[in-house]
Amino acid sequence: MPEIKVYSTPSCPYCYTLKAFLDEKGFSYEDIDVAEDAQGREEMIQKTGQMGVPVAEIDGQIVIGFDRERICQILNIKD
Amino acid sequence: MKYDLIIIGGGPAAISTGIYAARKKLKTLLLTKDWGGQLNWTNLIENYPGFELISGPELVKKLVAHLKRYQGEDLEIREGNEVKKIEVENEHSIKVKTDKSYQAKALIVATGRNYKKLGITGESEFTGKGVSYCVTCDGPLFKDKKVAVIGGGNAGLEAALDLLNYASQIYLLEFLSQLTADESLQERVGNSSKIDIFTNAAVREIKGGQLVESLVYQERSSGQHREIAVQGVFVEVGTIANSALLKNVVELNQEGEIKIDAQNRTSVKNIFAAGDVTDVSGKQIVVAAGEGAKAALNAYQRLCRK
Repeated sequence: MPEIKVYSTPSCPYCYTLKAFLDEKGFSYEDIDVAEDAQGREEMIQKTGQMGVPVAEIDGQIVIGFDRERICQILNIKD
Repeated sequence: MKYDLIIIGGGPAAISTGIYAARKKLKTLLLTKDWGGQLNWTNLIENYPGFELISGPELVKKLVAHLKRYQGEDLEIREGNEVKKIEVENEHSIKVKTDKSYQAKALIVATGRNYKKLGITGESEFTGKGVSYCVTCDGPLFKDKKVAVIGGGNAGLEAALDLLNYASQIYLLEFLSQLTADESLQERVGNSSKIDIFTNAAVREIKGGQLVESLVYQERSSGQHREIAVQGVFVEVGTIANSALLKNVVELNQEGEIKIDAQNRTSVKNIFAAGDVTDVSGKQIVVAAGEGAKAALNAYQRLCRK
């Protein structure tokens, strides 16, 4: 299984969509709530150079936003 | 292969169109980049009948699941597809191009609306780097930071009030000489010591290094430029119809909305439109869904008549 981290906030609709998509496709992930977790927030900003959520880190590859196409490509999902 | 109908869009209008078209057994193709449209930036919905309270993304999930029940022989769905061009070959043949090319007898456009941009220096460069169009999404990232909200309408004031939960200081900038939001919102904003209001303020530039560091605006009364240090800029200046594809195809009104009649017909035969992309009054989820149903039924009637 690939190692997946999702940086998200509880109120962000695309975070919900992204996590629902990963759930649907059967991938498990670590969910980092950057609204609460200040360290996680800094880590995300440092890694991506930007401040938008969601961010997915899949085996070290960064995907900003719910970029369905890229996520499918990295995870090798036929969509 | 030629379809009876192509639908463009993935919000409530397009989804409702898809359901009605499939039930009428029209050979239909629905093309969308993603699902839900503006519902994705809507936190809570309390005015969609049948759901006393539901979040935007939850409603999207239900709408898409409902539509996909009809996916099959009559209804083909292609998601992740951005439409690049629409060409009218003749009255009974409309071509829609993504990376591929599709042909149909009729077209229903339900592409909705997107947030309006300011069009100033630094805005696109810093989008996602401090510039945001969605407080619901990105607000929590600005905990204990100074932010600006652009726009003194309902959306702007609601954004500012939402940001009270996170930001240490909020500057609210409005181009006009006074705020245009509802009185009750203005009262709540006025009562907050954390919100500073600047009216008659024309935002000129967003500056920074890797992330946003400041915002420059011009005082319209004096003509003077002022710079305020902020880490975030939330743009809340309204929305605009996603009609760029149709610009030289069908008639639009001054706001760029597709002009339709009571049967959802545009100025071009066999091109219909539904929902927030049109000049229909009431930009509401329930209206969009209703308009989608109407458009599908009217297209069906037209196709039966030939």
